[in-house]
Amino acid sequence: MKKWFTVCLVILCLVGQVFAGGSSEAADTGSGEEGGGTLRIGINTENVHTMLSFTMTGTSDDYYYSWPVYESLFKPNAEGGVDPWLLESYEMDKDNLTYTFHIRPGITFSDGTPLDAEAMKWNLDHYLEVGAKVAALLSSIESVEVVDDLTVVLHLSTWSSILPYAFSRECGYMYSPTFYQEHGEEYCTQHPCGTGPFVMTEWNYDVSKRFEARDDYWGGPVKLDAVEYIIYTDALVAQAAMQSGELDVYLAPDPETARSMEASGITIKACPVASSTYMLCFNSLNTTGDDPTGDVRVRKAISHAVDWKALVQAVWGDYASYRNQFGVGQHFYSDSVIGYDYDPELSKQLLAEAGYPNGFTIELKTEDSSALINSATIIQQYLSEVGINAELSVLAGADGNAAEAGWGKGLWVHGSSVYVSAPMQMASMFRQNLSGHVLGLTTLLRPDDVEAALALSVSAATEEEAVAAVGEANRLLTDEYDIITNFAETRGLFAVADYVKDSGIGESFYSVADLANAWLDK
Amino acid sequence: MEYELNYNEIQKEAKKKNRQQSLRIFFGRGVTVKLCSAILVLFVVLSLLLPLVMNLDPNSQDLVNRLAAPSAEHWFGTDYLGRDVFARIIYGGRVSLMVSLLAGTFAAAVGIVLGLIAGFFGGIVSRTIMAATDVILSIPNMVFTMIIAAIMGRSVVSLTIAIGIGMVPTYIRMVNGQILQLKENDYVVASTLVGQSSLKILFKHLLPNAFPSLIVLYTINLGNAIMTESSLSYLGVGINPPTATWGNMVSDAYAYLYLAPRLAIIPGICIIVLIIAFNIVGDGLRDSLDPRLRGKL
Repeated sequence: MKKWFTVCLVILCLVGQVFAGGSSEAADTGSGEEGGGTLRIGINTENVHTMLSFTMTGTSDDYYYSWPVYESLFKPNAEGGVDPWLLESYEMDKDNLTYTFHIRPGITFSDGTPLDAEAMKWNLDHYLEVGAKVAALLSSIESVEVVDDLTVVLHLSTWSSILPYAFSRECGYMYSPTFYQEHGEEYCTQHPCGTGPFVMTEWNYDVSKRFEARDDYWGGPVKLDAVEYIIYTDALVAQAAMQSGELDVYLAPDPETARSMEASGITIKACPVASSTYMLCFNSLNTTGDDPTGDVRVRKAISHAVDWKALVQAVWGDYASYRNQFGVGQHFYSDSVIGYDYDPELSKQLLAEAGYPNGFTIELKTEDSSALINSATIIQQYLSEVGINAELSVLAGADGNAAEAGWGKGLWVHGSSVYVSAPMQMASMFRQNLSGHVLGLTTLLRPDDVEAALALSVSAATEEEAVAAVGEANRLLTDEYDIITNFAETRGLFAVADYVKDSGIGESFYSVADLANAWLDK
Repeated sequence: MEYELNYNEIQKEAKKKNRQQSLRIFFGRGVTVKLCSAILVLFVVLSLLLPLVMNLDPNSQDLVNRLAAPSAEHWFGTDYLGRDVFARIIYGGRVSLMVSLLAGTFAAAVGIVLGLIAGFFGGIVSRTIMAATDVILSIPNMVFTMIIAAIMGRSVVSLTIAIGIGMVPTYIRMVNGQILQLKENDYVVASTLVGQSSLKILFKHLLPNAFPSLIVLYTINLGNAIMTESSLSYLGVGINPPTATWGNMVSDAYAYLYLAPRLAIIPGICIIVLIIAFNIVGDGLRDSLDPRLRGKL
């Protein structure tokens, strides 16, 4: 009996120690504006492939893990545009087909070497050689020329107005050429050496990454001692960790988790600039000739059958807005696009005109995500009210990914991230003669007038011209042909504890933060 | 002739007595078996009959009244799309019970036939069937069922077949073992000697004697099938939405565990209760059908 009592006592002491250790650790993580501390960021997945800038593909996880170590030539702002970041200024010359970039003086990589024109040219050349987005975003660049220590000129084959947007994403991250040449590519994929305020010191796969503050950061003193990314694959566990103070930030919760967190008192920051758009896509190409969606009247009937505003409110609540055209934010928004009001009677009338007075059965497919499934389920219910029996299929993993490029017959509910610039995104989705993994490559109609409008939007001499061209492309895609019915723009969501100050997380666009100035008020 | 008549009457009387004794043992095992039997009957009756007398639509959405609390209109409240949770529980139970009954019956039919063939004929046929059974059994059942379900797609039929195939080996193993044991009995040897056909021996003498164990296995497998269906639906390889099953109701409600825990708790309780009920009823059946236990209770 005594033995048992002793064993129990020892176990209790050990458990007590564990919990006491946990709380003292938590208390050590922050100590005021100038006092350092560790910012603990929860994230739901590992960045499995690489941390080497020019081999990144531009997924949201690429951006999140890059916050401490990389900075880009331009930076998305809260208005939906981009500002120079590593650049001090830039000039565009449409007549001579050049962009001139002036690098901000005094910038150094985390290995101490400077970011100069040679380093930038090395990075841009590398990206043009192996980068994942060259074909979609940078194909107009012919060569990169070093003019002086801090000036680089890009020579283009055709004019492109989207380059500043392209260089605000992973295409514009800078990596130390010296570090790369010293260590080789394989080593560098696991050891980022950028211009950012932190250096990665630990990478435990599927568990965590630790970044420690640089004392030679070009932007001035870094307030935090370190940033730690910890993987929480289960959102509810992450919520519990936020509530207990084990986490200071949780990245990109889905709308349900965000609502749940907000209800439990955790602050959810929704980026002012939306980052994803959701749409219903039709098999408008109808190569087999027997799909009802090959008839534009049927497509319009389907679009009028659904109360899109109610759908958006039900699925996302206040974290999204109804949007009747492709894109995000106000910059490229066009009032000339009418969209589709909820009008079941008009829908039935259009179906009757198209020869389907009693409706029909159609396939409705989507990928395996809660927002998409909920949207598809709601669409299915609305369609049943006008006599259309939509058979819902949820395609997971590789099946879903493959179907995105061509889902066969019927309807496809799609969510697409939009990186600030609508022309940049639309050019890689709706133009003719695209190849590779493109939305609806074998199912979406690509009319000549849409192609012309999108071509103009990319080569526009002025921003006004680009905006007008995007508006026209959207009018054709939506009102004229109803190739897609766009219904939502959603904003990047972040759970941020109230004591995390000046982090920039969730304050402009999902891909950027300002960890150099972040501090913990506790 | 008189002797034969008496023999038949005695046989009838004995069978009747056996049945009565089995029922007495079954219901004499205490209140738990009675309660569980009642629960099973209740679930079946509610799932089958309630939609006929009540105006229940499991898929009807009321997007304005999402996550509404239980009320007179919505007994269990509404879910995240404003669907009536009570209606989805009733229809979900219908799907879960149907999948389990069909999968269980499919597995029993295929497994019993293959088990009979393997046990009775022996030789290369037996070795082939048993080797295939061992291969399937070497793969964890959930993994095997997930693979089949993933290949066949997300529908009630494919899920039923996937779960059924996953359960077939248990029947083959059991029937094969039973037949190997039973076929050594004198009455089987005598039947063979008097020239009865293999089919007659299989279906008149061997199969009926293996039935008690099979009924128990069948009952327990019904519970297992519900568990598997729920697990597959929870893992996202179950039935396509918006069809309600208890498994996908729990799965879908997971994100709302803090906001509206009832969405997960109610179907979760249904799954637990039904599986426990099937298992306890299965235990009761085993006791009542096992001749060795009859004298003890």
